[in-house]
Amino acid sequence: MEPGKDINAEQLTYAKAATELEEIVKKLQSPECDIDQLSELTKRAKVLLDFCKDKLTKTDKEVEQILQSLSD
Amino acid sequence: MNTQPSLFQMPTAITLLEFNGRIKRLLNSDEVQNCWIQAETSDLRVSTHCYLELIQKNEKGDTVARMGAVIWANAFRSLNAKFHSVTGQDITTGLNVMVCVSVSYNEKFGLKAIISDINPEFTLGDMVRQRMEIIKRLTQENLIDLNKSVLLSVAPQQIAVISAAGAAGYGDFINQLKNNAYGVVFYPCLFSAMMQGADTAQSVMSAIDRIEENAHLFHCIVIIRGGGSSSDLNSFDNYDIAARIARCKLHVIVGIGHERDTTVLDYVAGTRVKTPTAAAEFLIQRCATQLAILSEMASAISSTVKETLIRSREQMAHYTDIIPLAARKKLEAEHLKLQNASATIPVCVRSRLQGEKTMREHNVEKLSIAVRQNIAMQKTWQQNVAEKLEILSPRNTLNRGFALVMRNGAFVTDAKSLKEGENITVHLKNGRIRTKITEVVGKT
Repeated sequence: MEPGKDINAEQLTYAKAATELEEIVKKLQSPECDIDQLSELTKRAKVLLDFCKDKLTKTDKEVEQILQSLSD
Repeated sequence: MNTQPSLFQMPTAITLLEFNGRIKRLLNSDEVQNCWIQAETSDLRVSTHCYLELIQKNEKGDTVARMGAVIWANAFRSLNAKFHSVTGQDITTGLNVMVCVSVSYNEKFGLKAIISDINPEFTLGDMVRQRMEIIKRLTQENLIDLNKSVLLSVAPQQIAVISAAGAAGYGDFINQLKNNAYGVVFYPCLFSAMMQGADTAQSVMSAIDRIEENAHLFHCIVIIRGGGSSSDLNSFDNYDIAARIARCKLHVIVGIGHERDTTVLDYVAGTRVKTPTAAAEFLIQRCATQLAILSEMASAISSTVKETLIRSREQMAHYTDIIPLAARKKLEAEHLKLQNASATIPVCVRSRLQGEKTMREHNVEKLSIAVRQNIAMQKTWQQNVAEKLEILSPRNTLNRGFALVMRNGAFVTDAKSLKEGENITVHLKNGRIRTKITEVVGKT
């Protein structure tokens, strides 16, 4: 996965992002991880971490509006 | 038969009041006073006094007996408290009860059963039995754990809430979510439903249907109802709602009633919590756990990257130190190898030459022995041949008494070749004779 890829374009979900993050941490901690991969993995991890935190703590207006329209 | 009374045979009539008075006196029998009966409550309403219908149904569900009943206000307070302390709920419609009744007949208001006591243990037992029967059926139909197998999102934020719109429990739930200490954003969406009374089951199931039409928008369903003072949790001990929840596509969280209340839904729900507030706390904690995990992962990534960089630098420094040292060691080793070779080669050559010399000497000796042996063998052979020649020599033959015949200088070996009159020479031991053939014998 390209680190800077548009997260909206790849239809990322929280669950997918969290799973990918776990994989990145495992890769980084494995002895096979060389310094060439470091930069790419770290950049991708940053994108995913920001995405997940935003999902949890920032209001998604679109979701809010859709669900409000369904509410009794 | 003519039953029409004539003017002259007017029967003696009594007043309605007097007639009713007779009924009243008849009903004064001990058989209908302070009598414990089993019945189902129906159409219960409380307005100062508690008015209700006591009914009995047959197996088909048809009402086969009915009587209006009343619990006077002063009795109702104590009976209801006693009932609530055992069953966890108020006296209400739709309960199987064991009550102590006395028939009261009022000339003006008619017949009523006056309830003076209630046996709450009977109702509790009946409720428990009903609940156990539903749980047994759900278990037999493999429904009891079905919703538990529907995975709940690790971060359930988009929540379909089934509750009564204005209920205190719903308000508590929303406030708790909005004011959570972790700053997690939730999107609760209310699907209002009747949460007590006879229509509860249908209303809740209809709400689940509406949610499932948009199931992709929600992470879970939360069914909540505060306990309130007039709990009517009996309506949740219902097979139809339980089976609907079991088959729901979304994970269902149930938070109905107070701490001590339990309904069938608690057994069948994916997750069971005690109260609406506890439901909110459960969701908040689940998302907060994700925030903590994200934070841990961020730290892990940061420290791993730092460690990897440090390790790489250390590795570089190590190589910087070790490469010249390794090169020097290699050169020294090669030098030593050369020295060893220089020392070893003359020794090897000498040893080889010595070996060759020893071999040559050994071969010369072997050759000499062989030659000598050959000569001795030749000598022996010659002697044998000489001996054989001696034995076979003509002289030896003549010595043994044989004679040799020669004609014209050639040996005669066949008598047939001789002719009478020819001259021949006969060689004998110590001389020869010349003679003429007078006769050839045996010639044919």
